Parts: sequence; C-alpha cells; structure tokens
Amino acid sequence: MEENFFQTLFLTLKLASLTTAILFAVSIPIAFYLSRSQGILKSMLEIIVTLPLVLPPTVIGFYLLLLLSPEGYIGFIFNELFDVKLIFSFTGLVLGSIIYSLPFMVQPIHAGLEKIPKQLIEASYLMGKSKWQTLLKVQLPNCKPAIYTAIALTFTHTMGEFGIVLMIGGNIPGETRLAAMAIYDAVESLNYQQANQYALSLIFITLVLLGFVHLWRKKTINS
Amino acid sequence: MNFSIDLSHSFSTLQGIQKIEANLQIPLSEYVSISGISGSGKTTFLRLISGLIQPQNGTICWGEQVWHDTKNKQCIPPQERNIGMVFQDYALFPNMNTLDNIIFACKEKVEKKYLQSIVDTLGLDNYLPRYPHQLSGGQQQRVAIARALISKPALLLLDEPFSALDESLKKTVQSFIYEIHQQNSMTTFVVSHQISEIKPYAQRFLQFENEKLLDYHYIEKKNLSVQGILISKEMSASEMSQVTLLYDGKTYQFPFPSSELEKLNIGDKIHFGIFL
Repeated sequence: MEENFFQTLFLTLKLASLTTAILFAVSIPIAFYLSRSQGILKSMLEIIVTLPLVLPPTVIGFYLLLLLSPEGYIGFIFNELFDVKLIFSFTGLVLGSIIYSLPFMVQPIHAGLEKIPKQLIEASYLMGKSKWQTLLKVQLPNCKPAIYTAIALTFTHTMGEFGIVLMIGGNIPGETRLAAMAIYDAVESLNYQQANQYALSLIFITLVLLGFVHLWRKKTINS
Repeated sequence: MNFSIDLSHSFSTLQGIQKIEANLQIPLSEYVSISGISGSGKTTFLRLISGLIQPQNGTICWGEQVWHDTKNKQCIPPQERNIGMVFQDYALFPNMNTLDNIIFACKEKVEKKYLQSIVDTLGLDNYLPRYPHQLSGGQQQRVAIARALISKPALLLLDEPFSALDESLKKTVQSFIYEIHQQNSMTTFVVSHQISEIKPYAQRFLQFENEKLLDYHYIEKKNLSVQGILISKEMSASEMSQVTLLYDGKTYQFPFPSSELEKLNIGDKIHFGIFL
C-alpha cells in the first residue's frame, strides 16, 4: 500500500464533504429562486448552472487556472487581501469543485421543489407563513428524496474529479493529491495494484453512500 | 363595514379563455354561499379574494383596508389578510401529522381548549398522530376544516368543504362551522354544488351566471323555496346539468346536479329558490 494512501483518501473525502456542505447551502437559494421565477434572468441562471455539466472539465479548469492564479482577478484579490494562494492549493480545489459540481446539487433540488403541489405553498402563505418559512417548513421537508439524491450526486461526483484537479490542483501529496490523481499516477507507472486499491476504495465508498441514499429515499417515500 | 369586491379577471381553461366579473358589497361577518356550474370560476374567485391570484382589474377592500387595487398597484399579500381556507383537494402537508397540520395554522399560541373542541367535534382525536396518506378522504377533509378554523380567521373560505363527508357527519360539521362563524363574527364564503347543504345557514347567495357573479339579495329564509314544474332538462357530461322550471307562468333556468337530474322526469315538481 502506498505510503500516503490514507492521507490521499482522507483528502478526497474532505474535499467531497466540504464541497457538498458549501454547495448545499449555496444551492438552496438558487434552486428556490429558479423554482419560483420566470423570465430571462431565470433562463440565464439555468444556463449558467448547467454549463459545468456540458463543458469539458479541462475547459473549466483552464479558465479557473487563469482566474485563480495570482495574476487572475479572484487569485489576485485572495492573495492581496487574505494572503491566500488559490492555485495549487486545497482552497483552490474547493472553489473549483464548487463550480464544477454546482449542477449536481442545484438541479435535483430545483426539480424536487418544482414537483411540490402549488396548493401546499399557497396553504402555507394563507396561514401567515413567509416565503422562507414555507421553504424551510413545507417545501424542503417535502422534497427530501431530491435533496438526498443531490447530496449523493455531488459527493460522489466530487470524489471522482480529475480534469479540474489536474488543471488547478496539481498533484501535491497531502495538499492537492486526490484519489483520482493517484489512480492516474499509478496507471502511468504501471502500478496496477495501487490503482486497484484506490479504485476499489472509491467504488466501496460510493456504493455505501448510494446504499444509504437509497434507504433514506425509500424510508422518506414510505413514511 | 363591508367586504367590497369589484373585479374582472380572465384565465385559461381547457375550454378556452374564461372570464369572471364580480361587483359585490358584502357586510362583514355574513355567511355567503357561492354556486355555479363546474368551471364557472368559483374556485378562481376564492383564490382572487384570498390574494393567491392577482385580479387583472379592480379593487378588493376589507372594510377600510385596501387589499388590492390594480390602478394604484396596491396589493396586500395573502399572509397579511387573516384568511382561513379549505382547499378542494385539502392541501394537507404530507410531512406533518394531523396535529402538526392543524397547529401549523396557528399564528399565535395554541388555545388548547379551542383546539380540543375542534378535534372532538370533527372526530379527529384518534387520528392526531397520523400522516395525511394514512387518512381517508373524509378524514383529510376534516383535518383541512380544523386547520382553517384554528386561527379564528376574519375571512373563512371553504371550497366544497363537505364533499367527502358522510351524511351524519356532514350536518355536525356544518352546524359546528356555523357556530364558530357566529361566535367569532367570521365572514364566511362557502362554495358548494349542493345549495341545500348550506341553505339553512347562508344569509347571501352568490351565483355565477354568464361569467358574472350575481348577488341575489339578502333573503328571508321563509321565502326561499317554492314549487316549480320541470319542463325541460339538458343533461351534461359534467357534474352539473341545466333544468328549466315553470313557476307562476314564468320559466326559470338553473344548474342542477347531473346525478340527481337523471332520476327526475318532465312534469316532476321541484322545490327551488327565488331570490327577490
């Protein structure tokens, strides 16, 4: 087993967890806005959210590289204000993952919110509840299966990220070296046993997570 | 003090564009019946006055308070109108059990005694821990009624509130709603296909005819019923058909429940209301 095996795996899980948690908080207002709006702003936002889904990761990675580098707009601000280097750092990886995995969190939650019968929302309004109270107490609890799906998709998708990691993270052990990169390295050096260890670990984690999500969904739908 | 409604609104239906017009002055705390054939706009009218839909033209005023004024672009959101509503399909929250569904409607602290009286009268005591999908249609309807009554709203809107109740329970629920309406001086609008259901309680009868909501003037209940002769019936595939009755040398046309009309023959005598 590789010396940094558990460190790499831990870093992968840490990135997936952080990205999922931040995206969950960010995606709820976005999905809420999309579910109750119409018009050009909604369409534009929908396109922006979908973009990471259709663009090659290397394209997103390339522009993120330009933006996050010390000469780029975002990289410059972070560097000057907080003395934080975004490129080839874990923080940069988190930022990149948030952008890349955005549609995997927003779209299922948006679809879940859209499916909720309009009359439930209207009933809540007539009971004096505000839009946010209605979202928290009526809409979100009634689209739990969609939320579970969104969390599972985002987490597993971030775990398997490769293109963006390669472009903006590099392969620094303990800092930006993730499981997908480790598999690539191992295959490059014909170390199939090591590649297998990483790949099987990712498959195992993904299966366990999807199993839980399946059970939660089943429990929610049957309750 | 009046509930003044002067509005016109068009909306799409499967049959095409439907328009409704209403110009009403209703004294606050009246019990009002709304009837009309299917698709005439009864539910849409309730949604318009509740603020769930914005009327395209007109004004709605609750006493001195302007709820909606198209010209001045003024609109009070439904949250601030103090309305209780029973939806036609109940709209119970699937994530809450019966008790939570009811108390979710409370704007202030729950009055336990009042809650208990509602739960007892509506026969919901054994169903409080159950979720909507574990209840029958009639039980769901009673939960929806309880939820609309719990906050003692100023305006109570009931859309076909007795449709799923069995006959014995229907009378209990009807008189209970009337009692609460009286005690709290609630203005109550009841949409019903069967006017007979609300006839004993309603002080004012509104009916949709040719896209207009007509207000048959306040009537003494003793004047309500006369006997006419059925001279023609136009059966319809929808819930309501059309009958023509002859009374005192004049003919009167009414919407009539299709299921009931099947049992009647030309020449039969039928009691009906004339509002003068």
